Amino acid sequence: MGLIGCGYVALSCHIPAICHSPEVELVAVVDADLSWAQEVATRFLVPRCCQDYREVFGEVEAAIVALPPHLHAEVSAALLRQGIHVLCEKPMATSVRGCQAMLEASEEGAARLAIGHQRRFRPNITYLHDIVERGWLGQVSSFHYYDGWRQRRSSRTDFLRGAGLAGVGHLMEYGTHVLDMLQWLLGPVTSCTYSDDRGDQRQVEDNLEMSMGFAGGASGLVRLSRERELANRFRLEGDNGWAELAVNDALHLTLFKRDATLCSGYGAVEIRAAEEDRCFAEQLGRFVRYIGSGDAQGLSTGVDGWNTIRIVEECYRSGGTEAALPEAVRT
Amino acid sequence: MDEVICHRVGTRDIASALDGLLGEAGGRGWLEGLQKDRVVIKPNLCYFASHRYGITTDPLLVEHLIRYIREIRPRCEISLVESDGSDRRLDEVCERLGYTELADRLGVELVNVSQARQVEIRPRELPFTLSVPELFFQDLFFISVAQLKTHHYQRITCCLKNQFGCLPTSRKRELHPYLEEVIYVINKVAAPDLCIVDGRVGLEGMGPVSGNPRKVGLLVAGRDPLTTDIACAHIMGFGPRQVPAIAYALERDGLKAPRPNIEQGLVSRFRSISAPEYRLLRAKIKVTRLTNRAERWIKDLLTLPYRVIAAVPEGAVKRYMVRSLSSNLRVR
Repeated sequence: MGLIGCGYVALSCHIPAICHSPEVELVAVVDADLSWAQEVATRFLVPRCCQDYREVFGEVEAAIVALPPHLHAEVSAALLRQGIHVLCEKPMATSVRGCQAMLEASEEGAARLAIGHQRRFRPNITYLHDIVERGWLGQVSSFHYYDGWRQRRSSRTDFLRGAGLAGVGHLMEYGTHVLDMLQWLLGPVTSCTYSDDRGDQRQVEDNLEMSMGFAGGASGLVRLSRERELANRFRLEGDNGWAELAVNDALHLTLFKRDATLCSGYGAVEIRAAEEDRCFAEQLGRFVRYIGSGDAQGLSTGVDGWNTIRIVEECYRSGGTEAALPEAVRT
Repeated sequence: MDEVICHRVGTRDIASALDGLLGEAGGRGWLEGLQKDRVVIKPNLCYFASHRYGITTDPLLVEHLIRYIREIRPRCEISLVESDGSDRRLDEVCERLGYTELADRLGVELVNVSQARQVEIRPRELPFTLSVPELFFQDLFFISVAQLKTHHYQRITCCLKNQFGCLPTSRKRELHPYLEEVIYVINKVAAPDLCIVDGRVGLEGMGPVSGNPRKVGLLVAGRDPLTTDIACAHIMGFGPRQVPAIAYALERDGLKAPRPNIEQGLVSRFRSISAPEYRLLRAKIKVTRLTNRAERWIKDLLTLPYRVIAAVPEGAVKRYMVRSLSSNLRVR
């Protein structure tokens, strides 16, 4: 496997996940800054480093693309065309056109494409998905997702605030995780009213709000901010109970299931879904399985990523009115 | 508090005695929950020991119970649940006591909760988390089938303590210093809809395993495990406050101990361990709890600086780490 981009997420999340995987060997690291790529290769005992991602063509079976978002489409598409399977960091691309190019390249090169929405593999989210799938909450009717904190500039490149790099703001950079997760849990988005704080003073949004409806019948509110603390809770309500979790806690969730023997005696139960959060390792394991067998279960595929970016693009376009959402493509 | 039925078995066989007991229970509307799609039965399979000594649940009783349920709900899914213990594996116990054969013959599922899916809960009553079977998130009719036994430091072990076997952990001994609290919690998590205590042959002396069988000739049933155990304690000659698990549950739920209206002929005085031995065992539990608490205090004290750091919002720490990492990257 090759690692394209050696920034924070690559070093702190992807390399540890690769090191834990017996099925994957990291054979090349790529960074525009060659001396940094060399240092990463030395530090993590990787045999090869290079400055240009094209140098890994023919040398790797798969690659993780962990570049600033505006480069995802171009680099991923080039790799996919060469038959290299790609796990691309979120957001998939900064435009639907970019996503389309990636999907076409994936077909052309007969290579698998997955998107790094690793939140699906957080133990409490996976458990919540299980709960919803099994119908424990009954018909999910409403939800809220409040997630906000004071963020300072932190990454190697300033892609978070620079419109030229990320192309967009908090919705694209972080909201894609939330949109992907909500669609995974509740089905395709059917309606969305979006507002944010872009204006003369702000090139890209730091605060946003979405009122959303889903094909499964659920509707609710998403509030995201990278400027202020919010309630930081995610709650799903169904006609047979509710589930709630703290958005910055990957392990626990509180569950109340009206007809459960357990809840009738004990009330709502706080559940620890796992001992530890190994979401990046889980994601990598699923990606390997997807490459081997074509089974993408649980993984965010290129089509899922495309669906998410399509909603983001429509939200930006709508500017406070209801976003016009074309029919979702689901595979 | 609920009613409890004390049913004399006499010379009848278990099938007709159980029919009589369940008939009375049905007459009181206690079996309406059998309309649910799943019935879970928890027998007492605490050891490789015969039911003839009053230690484990008689498979014949469970068999007749299953047949009775099937007559009411032919298509409902019936499961028998138990867990591994520190000194036994459930599959071996079931094999030896005839439960594996019983389950195969009657088409019921044998669920080892130690191997089934679990969830971890954080009860207020305990200083640690507790794994419980996910099974109890289902809408089910839960029947606890216990034995009438003495327990060396709980005085009795009947219906309340039977649910202790619903805990998946095989290291149950580690929970023993907190038995009252654990029993209270597990009875909230796995609250029986029907409690049956087989008192045809009870166990007295050094229970729950090493005592002596004692013929009592009773079947007891109730809807509430606490009330059922109070009646059982009375039958065995103990006051409810003498049984720590009952005393704790009464206090926790703010209830007064009722005076069971049980005819004198049904009350027998079970031999228990001697008073000094009992006091010694309870003192040992107190010391263990105090030691554990002291250990926690010392640990808390030593880890105070780390906990202060941990109290800083995770996001802030992460941002600081990210910032310092990225500045390192730039300085490079």
